[in-house]
Amino acid sequence: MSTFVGSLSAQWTALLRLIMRRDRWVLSAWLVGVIFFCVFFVPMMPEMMGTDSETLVLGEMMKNPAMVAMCGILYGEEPTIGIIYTQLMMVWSAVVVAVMNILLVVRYTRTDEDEGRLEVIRSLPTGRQAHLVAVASLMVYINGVVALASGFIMALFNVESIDVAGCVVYAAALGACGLVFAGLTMVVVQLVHSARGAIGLSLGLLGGFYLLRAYGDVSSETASLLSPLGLIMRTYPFYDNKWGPVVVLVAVGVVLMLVSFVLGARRDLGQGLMPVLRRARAHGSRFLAGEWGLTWRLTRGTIIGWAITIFIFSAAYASVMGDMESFIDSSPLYQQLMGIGDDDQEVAKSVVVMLVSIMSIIGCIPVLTTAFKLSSEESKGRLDYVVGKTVSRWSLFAGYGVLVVLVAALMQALTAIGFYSVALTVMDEPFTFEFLAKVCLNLLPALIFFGGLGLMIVGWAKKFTWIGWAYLGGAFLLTFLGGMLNLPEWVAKITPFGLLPHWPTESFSVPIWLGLVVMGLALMVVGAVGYRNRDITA
Amino acid sequence: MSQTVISMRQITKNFGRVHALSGVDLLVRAGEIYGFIGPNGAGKSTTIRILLGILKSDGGSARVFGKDAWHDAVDIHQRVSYVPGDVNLWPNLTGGEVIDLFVRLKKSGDKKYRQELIERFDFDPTRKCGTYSKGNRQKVALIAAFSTDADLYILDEPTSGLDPLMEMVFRDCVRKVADEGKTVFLSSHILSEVEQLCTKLSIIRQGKIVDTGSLRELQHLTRNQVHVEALGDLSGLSTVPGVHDLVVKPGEAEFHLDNTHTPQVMSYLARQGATRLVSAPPTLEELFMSHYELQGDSEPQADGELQEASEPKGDSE
Ligand SMILES: Nc1ncnc2c1ncn2[C@@H]1O[C@H](COP(=O)(O)OP(=O)(O)OP(=O)(O)O)[C@@H](O)[C@H]1O
Ligand SMILES: [Mg+2]
Repeated sequence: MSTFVGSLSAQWTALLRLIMRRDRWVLSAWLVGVIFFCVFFVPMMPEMMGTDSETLVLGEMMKNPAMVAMCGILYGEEPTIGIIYTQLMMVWSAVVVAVMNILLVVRYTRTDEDEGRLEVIRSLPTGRQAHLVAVASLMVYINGVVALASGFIMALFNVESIDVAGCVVYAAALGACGLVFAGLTMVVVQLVHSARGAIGLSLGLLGGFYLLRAYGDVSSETASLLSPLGLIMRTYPFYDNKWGPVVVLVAVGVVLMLVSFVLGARRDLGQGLMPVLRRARAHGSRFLAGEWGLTWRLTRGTIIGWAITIFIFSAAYASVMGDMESFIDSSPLYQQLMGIGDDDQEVAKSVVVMLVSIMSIIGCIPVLTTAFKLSSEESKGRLDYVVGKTVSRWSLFAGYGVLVVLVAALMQALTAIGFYSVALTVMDEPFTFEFLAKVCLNLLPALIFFGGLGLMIVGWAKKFTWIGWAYLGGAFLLTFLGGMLNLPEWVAKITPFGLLPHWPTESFSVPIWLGLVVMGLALMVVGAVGYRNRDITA
Repeated sequence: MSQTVISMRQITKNFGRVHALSGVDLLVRAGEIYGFIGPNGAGKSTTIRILLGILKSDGGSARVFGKDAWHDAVDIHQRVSYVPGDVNLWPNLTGGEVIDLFVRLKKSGDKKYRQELIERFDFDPTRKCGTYSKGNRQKVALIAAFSTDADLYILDEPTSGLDPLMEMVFRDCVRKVADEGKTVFLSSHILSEVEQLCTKLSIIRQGKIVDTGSLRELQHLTRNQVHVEALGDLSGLSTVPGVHDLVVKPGEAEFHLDNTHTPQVMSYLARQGATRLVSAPPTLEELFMSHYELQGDSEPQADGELQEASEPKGDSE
């Protein structure tokens, strides 16, 4: 029996070397990107905070429930630069680390399995679980590098109140959180039936943990402790520097990995442990007629999944609006800061604009994903069947164009509805639906622009899809943090979200609104021209 | 009596509602080139995956070299080389790198012979796998398999992507290892390929072995489809032994011919002044038709008719 267990992992080091060899660039790029995200804001903090009194003021602003829901708690008796940095960046950094873990784990487990590469490996004298063991050790290594490097770099910046002990626990918590999501994904991979399913479910769990933390941070400490994203902040970096949560997270991560080994041993290659729910159809439904129908069939799962996500997130953000009202009432300082006498609604509206901006940026994810589906289908060689039929590329591309615009509109509509339905119940003076719809509609061109950008990339050079994601990431950071920095005005305007005036705090601009829509559509046309003339290749 | 290499007894395997295998028995002895044929979806690949411990059977026993196929997979694999029908590789490694990887995982292998194989298969090992054609990807697996030391070669439709010239190289490789006393287990749905190579074979259909034996024993397998045109009258063919399913038209005839009776038929045809003779091996479908005619049993599986489930790997959303 013991030799059986030993033989399960036979030659895992060789498989680990294989991963490192074949993906050294992918892995390096992920590491550099993620570590950058985790540390880049540290050197900008002192500039943002300026004097001690400004720190106090900012601390007061950061206490508001919307901010807490979005980012996390503000702890300690007095806000310091380190504490405010933790509140601003820790949860989002952990989300980025988690996404990396999810995507990498699926890439090295389920994708290899789905593509049939694992079959040959299994036929060689390698253990049945060798690849899982290899991936587990890879993830331990990757998260270790993230923790060490970001802790080290943060400390190097030598910013006041961001001390070494705090940096170490902060970075260790991020790495430990990454390990939990690596383990969680390894378990998910055993349950579902495909790589896409594994990514979807794992990201869904990440979203769930984010919401659990948001709810917990605003109203229930226990809920936050149950979410890895909440637990990491309970290390209280730069204040208490507690190691308990880190230990717990590492233990959970390791246990999850062990569970995945056990589950993995109980299933067949290519199968999942969850039962297949739906009986597959033998015939195409009426909708599956033609290339547009096929496009819808291929993307609908993702679109529906994101629609639900956007709705839930909007509703969750809206749920803090009640707390927000009482916070504003109880904090004259905050009212004064926002420069508004006693019109609560004005303050509340400015908060809504911020939350809707963040939601709109998240809404760009399904828009880009839909656009990039055209290229991922191509890479898998499946498009040959479609273009090989009597389908014109124009029509195929146009179908995606229409779909992308519809997805953009759907996501904004759901943001408005999600906000409205919950704000209605929690606020003393709820917003009208018309107001929320306008706020969302105001930002719609930004989503259409991203859709156009995505399709243009697909049309001309599909290997540059990462540029779309990088640009979206940049837009998120500028929206989220840009306002706090004294950046030159043009910098904010390099993204559509900065370019569009944020009604109602800023006045609506028809030329910019229309201009962005036209630009988005024009990018699609440009993409279509490129698409018609380039090779369809794997 | 030589040693047993593969022994499967009453192996069953279900994928949900799909009964992929329902009681498969196989016995392969050392030194045999064993053919394993059956139509699409019959369960060939499933059987092979169970032999390799990639899938776990739901019932029955599968032993390779006397060891349990599932529990002792790593031990068994030291002595087994496998070539899948559909070879998928890492797009950004070169073919040479992948061959080396496979050989290294196997911890045995002959560098010189590997080089020789690369040349004989006319294969360029310096290109990235993502740019290989299907046949070239298959060559990667074939070269890796034949250049490592193994006692058993398991080949799942290994020639499905090869051109006729490369198929010849492949057959040479198989004969070479067979001459060395190694065992080969070859699945295929091309009867002629099996005929040329194999000493023994099994036919699988709908998850059951329907026939097993040496080529000679399975005589009805070697019945050729003959089309002949002649100056003389061909209606006398009906009295010649070995002629089945005869259809005579003026000046031409079509029939199935038991190869053992070829001399009699040929001399008859010569006397009738045959001008044109076309002979084709039976297709697998014809084979099964004749098989079930012999058994008088045209609907073999009463329960659990084979349902094609949704493709497990495709995007179902
Ligand atoms: N992972 C799976 N999930 C569900 N059904 C499966 C799975 N793998 C195989 N099957 C089914 O089991 C049966 C046997 O499949 P198998 O791949 O063994 O056939 P095969 O004889 O190799 O066919 P081919 O000649 O096409 O390669 C088929 O009906 C197939 O649909
Ligand atoms: Mg097969």
